[in-house]
Amino acid sequence: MHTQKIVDYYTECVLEHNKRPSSVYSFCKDLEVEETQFYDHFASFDQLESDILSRMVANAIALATKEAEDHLDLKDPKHQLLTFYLTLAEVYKSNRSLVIFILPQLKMEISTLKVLEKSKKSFLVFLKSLDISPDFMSFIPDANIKTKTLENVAWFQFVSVLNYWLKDTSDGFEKTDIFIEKSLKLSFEISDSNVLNTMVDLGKFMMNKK
Amino acid sequence: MKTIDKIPTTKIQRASKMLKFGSQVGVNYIKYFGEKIISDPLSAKDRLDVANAEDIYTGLSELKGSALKVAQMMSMDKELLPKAFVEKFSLAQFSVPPLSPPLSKKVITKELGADPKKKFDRINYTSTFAASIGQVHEAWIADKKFALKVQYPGVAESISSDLNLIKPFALRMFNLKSAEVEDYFLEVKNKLYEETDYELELDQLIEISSACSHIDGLVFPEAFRAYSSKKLLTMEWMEGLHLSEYTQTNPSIEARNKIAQTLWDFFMYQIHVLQKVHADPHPGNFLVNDKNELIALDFGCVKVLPKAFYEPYFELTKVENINNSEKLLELLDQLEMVLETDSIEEKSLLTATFKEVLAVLNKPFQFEKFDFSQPEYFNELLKLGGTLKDDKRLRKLNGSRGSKHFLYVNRTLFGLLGLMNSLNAGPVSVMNYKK
Repeated sequence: MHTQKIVDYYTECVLEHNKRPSSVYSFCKDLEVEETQFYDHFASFDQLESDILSRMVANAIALATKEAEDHLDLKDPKHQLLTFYLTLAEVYKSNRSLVIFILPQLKMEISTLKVLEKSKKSFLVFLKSLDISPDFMSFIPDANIKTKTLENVAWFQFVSVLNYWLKDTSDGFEKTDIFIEKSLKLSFEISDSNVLNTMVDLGKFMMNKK
Repeated sequence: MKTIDKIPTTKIQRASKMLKFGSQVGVNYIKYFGEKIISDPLSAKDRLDVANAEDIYTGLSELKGSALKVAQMMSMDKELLPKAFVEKFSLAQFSVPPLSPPLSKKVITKELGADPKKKFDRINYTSTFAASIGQVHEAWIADKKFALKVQYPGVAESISSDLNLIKPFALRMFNLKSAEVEDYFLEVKNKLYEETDYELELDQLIEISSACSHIDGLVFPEAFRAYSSKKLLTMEWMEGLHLSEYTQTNPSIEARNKIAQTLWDFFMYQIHVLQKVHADPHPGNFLVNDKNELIALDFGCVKVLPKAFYEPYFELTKVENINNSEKLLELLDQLEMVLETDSIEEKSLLTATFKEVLAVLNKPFQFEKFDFSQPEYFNELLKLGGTLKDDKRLRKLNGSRGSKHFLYVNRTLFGLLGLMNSLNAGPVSVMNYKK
């Protein structure tokens, strides 16, 4: 119960003043909760922000899963992933000011990625539930590494969508939708084909020759 | 050491197949000159046309949207393009890769402004067919079936850049200079923008369908404004066969004649009475239902004929005007076919040429009934087109000629003539619309 209250009030604070509260102490005082109650859930404002972002991801996952249950045509794992991204773009849209506040000009830096850590966790759990086969990387012998690679690639795509959306200036962020559609289509086409294996095969051959 | 004196051809074939996706128009030209030396030049030229058309088509279908529309348009002007180009560009009239179901759903939801479930009992989010700048979905309320035409997101915004992409292609293909055709490109651009506005299409559908409701055997889909927006057009689902499929079912000559008569009357009524015409007559835009009625679809491209163009243009269908050189010159002047800067010789060359062209082109209008299925008329047209293209004196004439309105009016008329011919339907009353 407290967490929702904290999230809501924090959102209000940063949107009103466009800066963080000066300290956890003053924040809790204004909210009229004990400081310990804050620390029970979040170690710092950084953690709180990371949590807020992952709530958006969880929101989109819940909606995408429900869509898949309601509509036969959207049940396919690829369509679920697409639905997830398209929904996420909507969730982000309704929270744009907040997202932009938390991710000022997202660069691929450790610090910003840290803020996305919880989002990453939620996203990867969802990805796993879709059970996308990593067969297109059969050149990797180890199953664990294969899964890890798939996760890294998928996460990179997530960040690139977010990045595109942050810079998108089209009406209704329509271009982000197109970017999602086109970039996922490319990934699916690569994963459905043998092209990666063929490339690695050629690479290995060339290396051996030397 | 072993030597071989020639590379086995099967290997070359295999290699060229594997690398097919790497071919470009430029490469095709190199192949053309190679083939020209070793084989019959005519067939090599044909092969070049096919190869180029294929590459251009592949490129275009990836651009989707407006460029595809231009490909469709060019395929209507058969007399302008070598045959192979036309065949490939005609493909553009049919399917291109569709939007994914999730994105379709998102766009439909956004355009309806509400959860689609509140408006329709069921929607099939996998599209049924593509419509060049959009795609069509089936939807149901109880037993009633609807067609939802959904526009690809971002199409309207990409028109300018797509056109700039295709412009150098078009210029090279038709051997034109950029400044000369600025006016025409503007006309195409404006029409394409209009086609991205589905609200306008809805208005045009309602206007033309109510004005033409008296025409026998002609049916229009009902449109639903409450379920439509700028990027979503909801219409009644029409069952029927595309005109090209219909002719393949071998309908009786009477049935075909009825369709041809209806089609002709529909266009003549629009041109001469409404002076506003459906400017996209290709086989995909007309259906025939099981009662042998003609269904007209797609009112996105409607050309309004301004009086200053309509009057001189159709004055040219009168024999007495063609035979009166002074009057003919005056009409050509009004249509911007002769320019003030033309010398007397150039002017007389132009009037003589047009006299010849119009004598052929206007044949149907000189009779009460005309049989569009007779090949002689079309052969004569094509032959004429060929001789004109090769005429050196005509090619030397400078400046772009002809009012910009010619673009869509000619596309309409040639499209209509093509459809009339393909119906193979015997004689049709030419002036029926006056009744």
